[in-house]
Amino acid sequence: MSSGVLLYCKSKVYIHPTNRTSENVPGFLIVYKKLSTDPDSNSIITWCREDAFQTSPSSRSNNKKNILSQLLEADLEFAAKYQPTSTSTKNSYPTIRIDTSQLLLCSDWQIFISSVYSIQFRVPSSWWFGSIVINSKAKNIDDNIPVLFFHDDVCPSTKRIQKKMMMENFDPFNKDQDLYWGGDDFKQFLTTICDLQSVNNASSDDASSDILSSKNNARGNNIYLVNPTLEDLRNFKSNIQNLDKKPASPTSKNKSTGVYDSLNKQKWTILGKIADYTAKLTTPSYVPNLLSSYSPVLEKFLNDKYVNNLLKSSPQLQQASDDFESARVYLAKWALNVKQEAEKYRNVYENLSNDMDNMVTDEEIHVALERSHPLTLAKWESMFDEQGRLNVTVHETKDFIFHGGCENNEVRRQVWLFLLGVYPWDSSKDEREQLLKSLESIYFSSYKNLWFGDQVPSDMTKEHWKDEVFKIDKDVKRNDRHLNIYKHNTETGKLVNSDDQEMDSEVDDSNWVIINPHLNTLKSILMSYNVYNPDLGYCQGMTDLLSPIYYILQDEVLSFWAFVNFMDRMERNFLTDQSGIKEQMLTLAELTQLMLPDLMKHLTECDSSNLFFCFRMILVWFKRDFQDEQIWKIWEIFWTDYYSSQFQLFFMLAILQKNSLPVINNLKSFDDILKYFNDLKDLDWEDLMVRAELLFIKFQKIVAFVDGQNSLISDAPANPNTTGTGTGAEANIPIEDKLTKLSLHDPKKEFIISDRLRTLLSKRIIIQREKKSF
Amino acid sequence: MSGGRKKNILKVIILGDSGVGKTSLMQRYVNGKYSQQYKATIGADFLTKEVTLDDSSSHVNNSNSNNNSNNNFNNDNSRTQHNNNTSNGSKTATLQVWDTAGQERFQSLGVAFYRGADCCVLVYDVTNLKSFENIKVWRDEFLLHANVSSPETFPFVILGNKIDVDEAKKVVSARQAQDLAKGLGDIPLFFTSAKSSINVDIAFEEIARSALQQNQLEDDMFEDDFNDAINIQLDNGPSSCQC
Repeated sequence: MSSGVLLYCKSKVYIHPTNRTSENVPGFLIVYKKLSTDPDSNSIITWCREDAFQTSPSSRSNNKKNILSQLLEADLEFAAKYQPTSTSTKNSYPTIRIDTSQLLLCSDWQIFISSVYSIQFRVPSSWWFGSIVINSKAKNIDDNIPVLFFHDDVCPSTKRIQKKMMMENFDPFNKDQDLYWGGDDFKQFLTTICDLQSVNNASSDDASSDILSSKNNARGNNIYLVNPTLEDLRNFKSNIQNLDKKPASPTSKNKSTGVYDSLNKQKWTILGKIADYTAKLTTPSYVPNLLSSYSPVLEKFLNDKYVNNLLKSSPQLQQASDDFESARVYLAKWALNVKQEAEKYRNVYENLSNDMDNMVTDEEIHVALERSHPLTLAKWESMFDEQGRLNVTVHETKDFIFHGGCENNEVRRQVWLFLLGVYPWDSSKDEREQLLKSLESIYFSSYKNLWFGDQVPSDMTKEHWKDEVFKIDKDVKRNDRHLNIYKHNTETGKLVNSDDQEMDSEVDDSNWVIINPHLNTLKSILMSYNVYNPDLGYCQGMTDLLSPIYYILQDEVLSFWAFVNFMDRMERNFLTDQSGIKEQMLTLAELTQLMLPDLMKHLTECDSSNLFFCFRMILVWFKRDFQDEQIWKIWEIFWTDYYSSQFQLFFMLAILQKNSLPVINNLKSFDDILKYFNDLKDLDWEDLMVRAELLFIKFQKIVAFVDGQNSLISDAPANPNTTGTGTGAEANIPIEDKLTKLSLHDPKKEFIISDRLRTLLSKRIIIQREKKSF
Repeated sequence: MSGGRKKNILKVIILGDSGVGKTSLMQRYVNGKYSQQYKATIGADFLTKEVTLDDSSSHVNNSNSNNNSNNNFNNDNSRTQHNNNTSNGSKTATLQVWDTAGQERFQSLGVAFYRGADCCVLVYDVTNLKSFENIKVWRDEFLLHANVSSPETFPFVILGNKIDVDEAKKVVSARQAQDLAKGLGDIPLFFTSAKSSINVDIAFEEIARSALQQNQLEDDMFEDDFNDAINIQLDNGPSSCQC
């Protein structure tokens, strides 16, 4: 046994490998040190799954169980040492001897404190658990350290501390309104073994005029450098001139207290008024009334799955409801507000669950339905640090966009540049400004200047170029003319006086000349793209793809590059031999066969199994089938590649699923079906997106199950005893039933998921280039 | 779709270069309206219109030339002459007009829509020489993929569209067009304007008539085939029969 000392331990620290709560994994966040002769030996941060100490029934189990109980005790012991008010005084933490070889065996990952570059502490909000992100100095290790979530609601030590704080210094109008959370004592502990230097303090020092934003930084996203060098600090704190005068310690926060004080005074008066009002509400005569009228509802809704889900996702609310009876009144009111929502959801749940053959869980439906929080500008901006660098993970950002889209075009304008790869996700503001300059000069020097002013690009024949320009001109003139910026063919793009009106109405023979600046820009971008990608050339449908991008960005250079990147994945739709679009149709056909066999059977009977009626929707990503605002949302969700880089096929599948019954019952021929899908109107894109997500999850489960089943079959002759005891098989038994019902699953036969279907599980964008034709 | 023949549905395909006015012609004929903002057609779509036709195989021109706005061809005649759908009288049918994408790149999918056609309409733009030169290309393309039973007799109609524009802008002369139509086998030719509603109804009357003739011809062959016990397999196999 190699022994060491346990320096810190926190229970119920979770990782969230997927966005399903049921798949969150609880564990311990541990800091320990090996006992060694080397006095400089390094502390190690590690995380161990709870179940790592419980599972195998081997001879080691006793040791493991011992460690588990040791950790559980240590969790509470360390909690007892937490001092809410102390930030700098070194607490004496207990040291507990521990078997480090066992810890090593059970841990998912380990990192030396000296290898940690920074740690980001993200306080919980009503929708998120508090979490920390550990960034290692070695860039490539980052992937191995998942975000750690503190589930304060189930952590005994955190609850104990919260209770203690509540009892000792309860002050409802404390300026630090935020509740204590699990990350706080980890942070405090770290200060005892290393130098933690806040990155965000700088802003609260010199940007005192902007209290709200600095408060936001301090509260929301605290990044701390671990044992930073002076250079590290300079990199992060470009605004600090007199850094050298300051000791590098986390106590440098007092400069702006004056401002805070005056703010606090104001807050006190406001809060005082609120308190008066609240006091009226909580007078004895009043409260029982409220409680009695609300409590039956309250009881009912506390048992409601949906309400409970909301409660669980809001640790603060949960906490409040535990501690204050009066809070229950508010809770009840709030529960009443969600009553309708909850009932609506229950119906939706049932419908969706049936449509998915009960193969998705309520939890998964819940996640898919949770689309009510579009990305706001404030939220988006809060995701960036002072250098304008994203300080949440790309995955989290995409999760947010996938499940809510952007709130308005102002935020969309910024988000799309990242989603479309114009700006790298890890770029800083300065880097983006640099990048923009070079993108601008490349656009003009390498593309636009080659054709501008009636030139023919050097490597094209005059006839070919004239042809391309003619096609582009024709399509631009008839593109989205209902949108305000494209509507009027005037020099300003607006109708100023009746002369303009006259000009505008004259543009009716096919040879009219574009003078609307926005239409002209569309044309310029498409012509430049033609020079950029001469092999592909112009193809109908490209204007449909460019138009929304330009409408949102309204900048020629940015739109060009965004379009170039969008076309990377869309080029396969426009190949001369049609191989890319045909491949998607075949994939969709196989997917429909697997997921909607009844519909596919009917389509085959109607000579429509080639799914030609989906061609237009897939070619231009549903551009012709939805309103503009809806297309923006749909596309930005597709662009995240959150589940699959071909999520458009699941969205198409959702359209098929939703229309299955009318199609099967009423339509009998290829013509009928084509007409039906060409003329679909007023589609509910949000419902379709929920279905698309659930269909993906169901598809993923089927693939996982079939793979598991096939491996069992192939293992069976060699190891007859293992049948049925494999780890995956037990959990999947209900799916097996359902698959049998879908007549997909024949236990004797291997059902193969084709490579084509497997590509749907990949998030990697499929790029197919046009081959040079001359 | 393809092999299965539905009585009383006449399938007409409109082909031609992008931007010559295929969608506009179809909209003008079926819905009587015009907009300059029809987007580029992607894939294919169709509209249907009920027509009443003189069922005789002769090309007798009736009183329609001064009755363009009337949706039903030979309306007067049908009432006065025959009220039943006998083979010698007037006949009601549904004209199914298919609008396709003009860009050649989409044609390999477009061919799926050619099958079972009763008439093919070739459109060019009188202000666009290239679209005129491509008429023959479109015809050959159609014959190559549509799998028609006798290519020599399959009915085509050529439309020179946009004749409402200034003479100065026209680059294809009437003479050139007539020569081409003649050269391709005496194909009927019309100069039309979807925008100003010139000759559209007349042209489609001819189209419907040709389609009906072709449809009956194929019908007869279908019956023959069907009665021949040895040869009941149609081009698409049994599943394509939707009767």
